Amino acid sequence: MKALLHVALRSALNRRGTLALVVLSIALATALLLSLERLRTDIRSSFSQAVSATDLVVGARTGPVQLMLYAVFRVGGATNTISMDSVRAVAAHRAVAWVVPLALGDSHRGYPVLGTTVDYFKHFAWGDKQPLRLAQGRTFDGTLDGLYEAVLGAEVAAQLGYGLGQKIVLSHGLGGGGGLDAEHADKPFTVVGVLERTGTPVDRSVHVSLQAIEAIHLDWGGGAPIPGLQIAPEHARKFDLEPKQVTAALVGLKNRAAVFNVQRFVAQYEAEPLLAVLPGVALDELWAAVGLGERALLAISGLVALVSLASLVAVVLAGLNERRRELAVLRAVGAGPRQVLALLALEGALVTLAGALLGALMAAASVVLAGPWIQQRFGISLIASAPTAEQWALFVAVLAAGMLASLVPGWRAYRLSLADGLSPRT
Amino acid sequence: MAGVLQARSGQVQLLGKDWAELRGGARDARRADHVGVIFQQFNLLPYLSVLDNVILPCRFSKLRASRCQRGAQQSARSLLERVALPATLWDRRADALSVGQQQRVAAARALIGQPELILADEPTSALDAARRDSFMQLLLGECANSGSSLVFVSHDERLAPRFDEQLSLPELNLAAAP
Repeated sequence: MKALLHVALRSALNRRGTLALVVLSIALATALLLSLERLRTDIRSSFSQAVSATDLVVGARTGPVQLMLYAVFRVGGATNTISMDSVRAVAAHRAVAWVVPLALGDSHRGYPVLGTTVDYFKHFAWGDKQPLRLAQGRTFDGTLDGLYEAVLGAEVAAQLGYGLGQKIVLSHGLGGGGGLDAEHADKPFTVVGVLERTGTPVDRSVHVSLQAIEAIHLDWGGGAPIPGLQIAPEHARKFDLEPKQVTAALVGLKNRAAVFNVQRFVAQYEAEPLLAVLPGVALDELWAAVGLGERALLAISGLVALVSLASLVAVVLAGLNERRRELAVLRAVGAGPRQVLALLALEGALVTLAGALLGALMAAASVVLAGPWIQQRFGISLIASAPTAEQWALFVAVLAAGMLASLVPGWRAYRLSLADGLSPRT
Repeated sequence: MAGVLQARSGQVQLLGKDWAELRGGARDARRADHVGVIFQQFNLLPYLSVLDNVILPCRFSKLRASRCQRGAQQSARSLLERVALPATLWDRRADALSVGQQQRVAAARALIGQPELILADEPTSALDAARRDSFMQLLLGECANSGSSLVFVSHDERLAPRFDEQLSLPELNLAAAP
């Protein structure tokens, strides 16, 4: 065996140019496979980390996935609003610890505006129950004096280059109008705080108070400014700014055990059709829906790995003809066909191992190098952690496939008759 | 004779053992133990050093390794000395050598561990007259030294007088024909 290893190593070194290419192609495939897997798990975890410490999300009756989409991910519009009375009724339930109402529907340069209460910054949590933290400034006041104050998510501030004191104007609608959305230009807001990055939709949100949302819509009706009616910003403070309608509400319970109890209470609420979803359950459903694309990605990278393994087989097979003489010499000095098979399989195994290791290194390096950029660009936080069980499984699968693939040329060489080997034609 | 092809009729024996009695693996082992082969050309693994090429049979045959009394390395060195290959070449890659030098290395490799039978398939056809003569002298001398029988195939009838017995294949074929 030692003799074979020695010969295999020397033989491989001799053909290092070709083999280096094969190693590289296996490495690239492995890296692709592993980083896609990493991306997939991390997207999934960012996804499931978008909201935590919230026991229920309450909204108008619709699908649980849709409710999560607009209330938590700010994707799509709400089918209907819920009345503030309903929110108060839920808040009055004895098992409920806190309720944070959410009002959506406006935007600033494509970023969604979230109308809420000061409690949002106290109760909303992401990841592993991490609370929101301010990177600069303070939260909005929640009083009439601080009516036109806004707190920006990290990405909004970074992308638009906003700092404290910046005046911003909100647009009516979700920014899908291609700049045609009417603006609330008469009532500009002042940025008073910027949140730390979370890797969740919070980064993409502009936070203002519920009263501010009411105030900028005082002189609006039916989604457009009412002609001839203009209420100056200072003037707006004299109106009743308590919201009548909100989009959804986040609910925290005193005791998690009561969650189904409260859910039932919400579902059976008579004044208005409501829906309460458990974020974890809805996220799983949502993930099942978007998981299809992710599985397609994994399948594609699997194909890439397959192709590069096929190239390994092709290279070794093509080389086999040239190496016939080499194999003949080996057989002449006493190597059995089994040893020739072992020689070729060993070489394939070494090449695959080198390729897979290099690929794993490349994948790890790309996570470290590209991680910050991906975090900033896509809000997905990639963590350069130890490989997950799935990644190990993929790694081992690549290795096993490579060794299996290198048995093919080995088998060909094994089948080459000894006579053929011992009488090499020149 | 090397147990590569099976006799369709009759027997081929090596050292009193019929090749046909042995299974594949055992045939390979027996060949490795008792037969040294020199081809016409391309005898060596190009990527191994000259010394490693010579030692190769000892790696596959314990018997031949055990016959090298002072170890395979030492035997290889003394064989290379006797085939008059300059010591500066010993650690070179085999494909760095000229054809004549390669044939001498091949002879050393066939001879290491004193196999009973040396099969040589036109080993001189790639050599010029002067090199051919010196190679023949070396080969015959070393076979005599190690007590190996040499079976030598050649088109070159000028070599015939050097051997104890000569068989002409055309005549053999005539004799075998019914």
